[in-house]
Amino acid sequence: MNLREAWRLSKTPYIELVFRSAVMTRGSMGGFGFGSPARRVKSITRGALIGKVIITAFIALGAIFAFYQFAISRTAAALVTGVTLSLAISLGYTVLYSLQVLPSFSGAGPYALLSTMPLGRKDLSLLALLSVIRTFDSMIVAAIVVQVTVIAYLTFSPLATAAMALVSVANAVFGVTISLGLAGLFQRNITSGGRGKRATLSRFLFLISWGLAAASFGFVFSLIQYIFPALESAISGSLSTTSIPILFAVVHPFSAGLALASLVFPTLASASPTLGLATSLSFVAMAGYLMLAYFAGRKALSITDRVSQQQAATIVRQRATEFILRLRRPIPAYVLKDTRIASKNPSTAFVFALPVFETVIIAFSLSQAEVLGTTAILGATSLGCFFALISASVLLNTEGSGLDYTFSLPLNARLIILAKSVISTVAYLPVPAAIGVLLVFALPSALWLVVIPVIQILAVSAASSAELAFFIRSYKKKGGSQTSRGVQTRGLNLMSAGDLARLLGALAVAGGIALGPLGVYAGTYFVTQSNTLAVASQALVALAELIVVQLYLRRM
Amino acid sequence: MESAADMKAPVVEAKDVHKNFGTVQALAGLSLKVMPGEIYGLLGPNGAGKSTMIKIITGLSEQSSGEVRVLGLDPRESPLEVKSKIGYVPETTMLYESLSPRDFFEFVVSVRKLDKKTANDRVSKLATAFGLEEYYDSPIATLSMGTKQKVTIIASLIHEPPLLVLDEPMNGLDAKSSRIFKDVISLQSQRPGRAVVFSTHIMEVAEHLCTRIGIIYKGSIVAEGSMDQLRAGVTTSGGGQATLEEVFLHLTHEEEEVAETSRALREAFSTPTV
Repeated sequence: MNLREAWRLSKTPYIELVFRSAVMTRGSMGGFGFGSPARRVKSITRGALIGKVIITAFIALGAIFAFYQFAISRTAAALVTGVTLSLAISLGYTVLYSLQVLPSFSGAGPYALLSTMPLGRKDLSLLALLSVIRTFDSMIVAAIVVQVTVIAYLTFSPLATAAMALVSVANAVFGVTISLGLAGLFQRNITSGGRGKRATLSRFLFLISWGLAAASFGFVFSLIQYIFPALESAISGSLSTTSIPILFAVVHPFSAGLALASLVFPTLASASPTLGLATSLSFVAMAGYLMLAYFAGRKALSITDRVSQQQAATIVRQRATEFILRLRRPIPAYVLKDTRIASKNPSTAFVFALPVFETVIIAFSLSQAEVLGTTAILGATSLGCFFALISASVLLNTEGSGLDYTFSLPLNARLIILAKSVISTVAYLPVPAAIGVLLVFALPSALWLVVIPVIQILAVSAASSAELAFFIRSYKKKGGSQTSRGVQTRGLNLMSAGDLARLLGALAVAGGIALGPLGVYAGTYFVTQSNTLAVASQALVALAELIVVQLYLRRM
Repeated sequence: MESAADMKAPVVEAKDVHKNFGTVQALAGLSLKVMPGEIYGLLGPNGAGKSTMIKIITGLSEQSSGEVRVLGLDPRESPLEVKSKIGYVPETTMLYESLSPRDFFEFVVSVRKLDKKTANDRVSKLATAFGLEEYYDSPIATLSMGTKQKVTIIASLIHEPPLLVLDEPMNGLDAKSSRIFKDVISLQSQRPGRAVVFSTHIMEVAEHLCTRIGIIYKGSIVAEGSMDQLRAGVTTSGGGQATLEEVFLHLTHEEEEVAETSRALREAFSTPTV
């Protein structure tokens, strides 16, 4: 089979890959709007294409803007920042996109039909590889073309341009291999059962690592804004007194940035002994990473070959010796079900990393605050509320393919909303805990301020319930002649459709509810200068919100 | 304890039910009645409206017009009450793939608020009967289609519902499980006040299991009755007793179409290929 023909044929397994992954992570056919199955399949593939175009645009624009500082200042530090940031953006967003599109890959399902056809191993393997490349094609091309062109245009250095080309290609290979590896990890997590301590621990570790990885890539810009000041000051200032450049020199993509900068600025290495060592190390590291990319590429080829031969992850079964069930009340049972499913779903697992993430960010933002007082606490609490509301919307995706079955059970929308709201509220709990701990160590005299985030627990619970209720109710018109219960069913059915406008509307409503009590606190304090009255007003408003939302849910 | 009135009241009653999906009419005035003790089989070609009717009975979908009563309740007005009284096996086994059967049963039993001892007792017996020991703690994603179907069937039976609604329940079941399930269906119909409604493509199953069969064609019931009653209206070319397949093809006007297709296929296979 020639490459052109293989490329044409690979479109079919690619569409199957996208479709199966969407069903795996976002639910059954019910999750993709109204209309015939053909229309739904089209909607999924169109959604994947739009996602690809958006990520490609992010990568291309990100790669250009990364060099903005260098275009103005033409300093070595700015060039290191530019190269590193553009490589990090393309790597991060490639992997982030793959979390949505590749989950079904390792199950080998998309290639099941191909394997029954009279195709040789090489052809099958080639088709599998090309279908994966189709997943990333525009992102890889955009990243390489933009990075190489920008370096050529800004540096006029053929050597730096050639190095950038090599590093860009290596970076793309890393992106694809990491994505395939994560897809395999996801598959193993899905296919591993059992309730033993070891199995539970391994799933928990997967959950945290997957969640943190997803969250890190999502917040790649935020992380980088904290890292780069250290990098730039290290290069432009106190090089001889810090080991930071050494660390940067051996870690990809910083190593590539440093190596390229020393090609464009040959005097960089002689600026100080530390920098001399760092630049030398960066060339060694870059060569090492190029070699690693070669092996990563081979690994990617072996993974696609194995999957194309239907060698999916091994399934180990344990014969059950007892059938005892642990029964719970409906809401805890639903919470547990959602938690179990979310922990195995790449698009929802990062809900579990959010508490860790928000604790770190809140601790960081409070430690950076000039004055640790009411304003800083209000700001940190708002941030925590925002994370909790994000997790509520993410939980819309946990139903997956079981949604159809759930509808056959005697469950109403209120119970489902309450269960998801419980998870969001629990995800918020580290916020008051983190603020409390920080106050104990930094400002024990103001420990009472922890009351503010504690009261917000009520507001977060009300806001997350309202967010979900508002989203579901927003489908009322589309449901047409449906009764109110039917409309709820429609809304739940469409939860996974990712209707951005409706979701943003729901988030805006929930944001208002969550921040309302904080606003009341600030307003009351401004007028009365009394913390006691301000806290009491905040508590009253939060409680009122919770009651009103609960009454509203009862009427749904 | 069922009252005498309950024993005489229909378990399912549908009158002049219409269902439209945009311009497509899925049900066109369908009426049927299922009495206690009956095993009612819905037979019809693909797209005839069987699954649509089953979804309306279970409260998963709503009719555009007409009346439906299930155990005396309107599924539109009281969907939760109806859902708590039926056991449903959907046409496609779409379950929570990342849960194990144990996790799934825990969820279903908790939502249905069953007593712990009774639930454990039933699950234990059903899981053993269907040979689920090996798969009990494996994620559903790793199970075969037939095993997934067993999980759905067990989940539909745990709460001993008065009405079993089964949409193509034999899909993927092996011989042993099919036999067990047929026994379960028979036992269900023999208990006072209970009934079974199911759709199937397998004529042999319908012929031997159903006490009454409704043949659905283009959204309405074109014939209804016991096997003997349905046979009575059809004469075979050989003069013998018509099979359900012959009755079905006759009533759905597909006899000629089948004959035409067979002719075309014979021609296609008799043409030498290069």
